[in-house]
Amino acid sequence: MNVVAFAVLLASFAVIIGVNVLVFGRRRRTLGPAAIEAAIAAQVPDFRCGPIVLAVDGGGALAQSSVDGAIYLVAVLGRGFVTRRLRKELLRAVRRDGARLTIWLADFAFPRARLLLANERLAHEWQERMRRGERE
Amino acid sequence: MTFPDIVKLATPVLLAFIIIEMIVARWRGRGDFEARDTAASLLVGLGSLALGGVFAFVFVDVSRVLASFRPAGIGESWGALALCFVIDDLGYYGWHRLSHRVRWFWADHVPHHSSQHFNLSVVFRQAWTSALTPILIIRAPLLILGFPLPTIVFTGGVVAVYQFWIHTETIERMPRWFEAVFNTPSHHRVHHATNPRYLDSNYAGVLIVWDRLFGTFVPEDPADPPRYGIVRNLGTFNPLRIALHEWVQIGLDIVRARSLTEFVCYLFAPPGWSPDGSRDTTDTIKARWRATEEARSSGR
Repeated sequence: MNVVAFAVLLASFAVIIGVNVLVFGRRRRTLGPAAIEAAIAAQVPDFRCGPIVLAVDGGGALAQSSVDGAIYLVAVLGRGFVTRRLRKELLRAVRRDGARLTIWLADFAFPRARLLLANERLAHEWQERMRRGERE
Repeated sequence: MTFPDIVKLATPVLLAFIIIEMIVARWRGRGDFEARDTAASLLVGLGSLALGGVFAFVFVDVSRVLASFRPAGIGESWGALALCFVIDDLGYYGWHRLSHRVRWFWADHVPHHSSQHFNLSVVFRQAWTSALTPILIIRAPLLILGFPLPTIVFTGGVVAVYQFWIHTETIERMPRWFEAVFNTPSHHRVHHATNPRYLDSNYAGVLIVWDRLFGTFVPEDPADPPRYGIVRNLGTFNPLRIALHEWVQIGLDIVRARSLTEFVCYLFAPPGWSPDGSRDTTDTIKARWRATEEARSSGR
C-alpha cells in the first residue's frame, strides 16, 4: 500500500468516526438495579440478586448472589457493559480512597474498574466483602 | 481468465456503506453505532491489514509447497470456478467451526466477535495472528486438487466480501428462499450472539446449507433478541488488547499448567476449558441454560 492510499484510508476512518459521533452522539449507558440483575443473569441463568451497590454515576455496580454468595462486578463500557465474577484468582487488589473503589483484576482484557459509591461506609463495606471473598 | 482483486476493489465501497448504514440505522431506530467501538474496529482492521502484509510470505510459500503435490492441474473454466467456490465455502465452514471450538484458533478469531455492537464496522475487526494458525488448511484441498491459485484467491475473496453485508441489524429478513440457501443478516446475528441458545451456531460463509447439513443451524427467535459480544466481554476499546487478549491468557494458563494434559488442553480444548471446571465453556453455559429453562417450564 502506498503512502497516498494509506493517508486516504486514515482520512476515511476519521470521517466515519466523525459521522458516528454526529449521528449517534456520545451518550453512554447507565445501570439501574434491574439492568444489573439482567446483565448477570445473562451469564448466570440461576442468578438471584442479594445485596447490591451502584456507583453514583450509574457507571458500574457490585452485586452479591443470594444463591452462593458470589460477588459480581458490572461495569459500563460505552453503551455496553462488562461482567465479571470476582473469584479469588481474578481479584488482584481492591483499593479505597474515600468513597471510591479501584478494583484491580488479573485480566488483560479488563485490568481495572473504578466505582464511586455514595459514601465511605458503603465503600468500606464492599471492600471488606471482596476481601472476604466467596462463601465456601 | 483474469480475476480482479475483489477485496481491494470492495474496500472503498464497504467503508462508504458503513456511513450509509449509520444514517439508516439512526433513521429506522434499528441498529447502533458507538464511536469508540467503531474506531476500535477500524484500527483492529488496520493492524490486521499491516500484519497480513508482513506475514504474506507464509501463505505464498506454503501455497507453493502444497501446489507441488497436485497430480494434475484443473483448467480454468466457469465450471471449475463454481466448483472451487463451493469447496472453498465448505472449507470456510470447517475452519470457522474449528475457530470456535479450538482455543488456539479462537485466540485468532475472537477479535472479530469482541464488539458488543453488530454493524458493518465489525467486519473490520479481523485477526492479527492468522500466520500462527493453519488457516491454509481450508485452501489446501483446493491447491492439491489442482485449482489454479488465481481462481482460489478470487473465490476466497468472494466468500470474504459476501460476508460484509450480513453484519447488520438494519436488514430484518430476506425472502424465504434466500434465507433457506444463503447466509443472511438474520443468520449471522445469531452467530454473533451470546444468548445461550445461539452459542456455537451458523458458521457458514456464503451458503447456510452447510449449517443445515451438519446440524449447527439455529434460526433467529424474535422472542430472544441477540446480545452481541463474547461470553466474557472485554472491558476495553484498546485495539492491542482486543487483538491479543486471548493469546496473553493462553500464555498465562500454560505457564500454570501442572501436567502435559493441562498444557495441551489449555491450547486445544474448547475456549473456557479449565482443569477444575471453574470456567465456563459454551457447552457448560448451554447445559446450565437448558436446566434452568426446564426447571422454569416444569414450574419449579
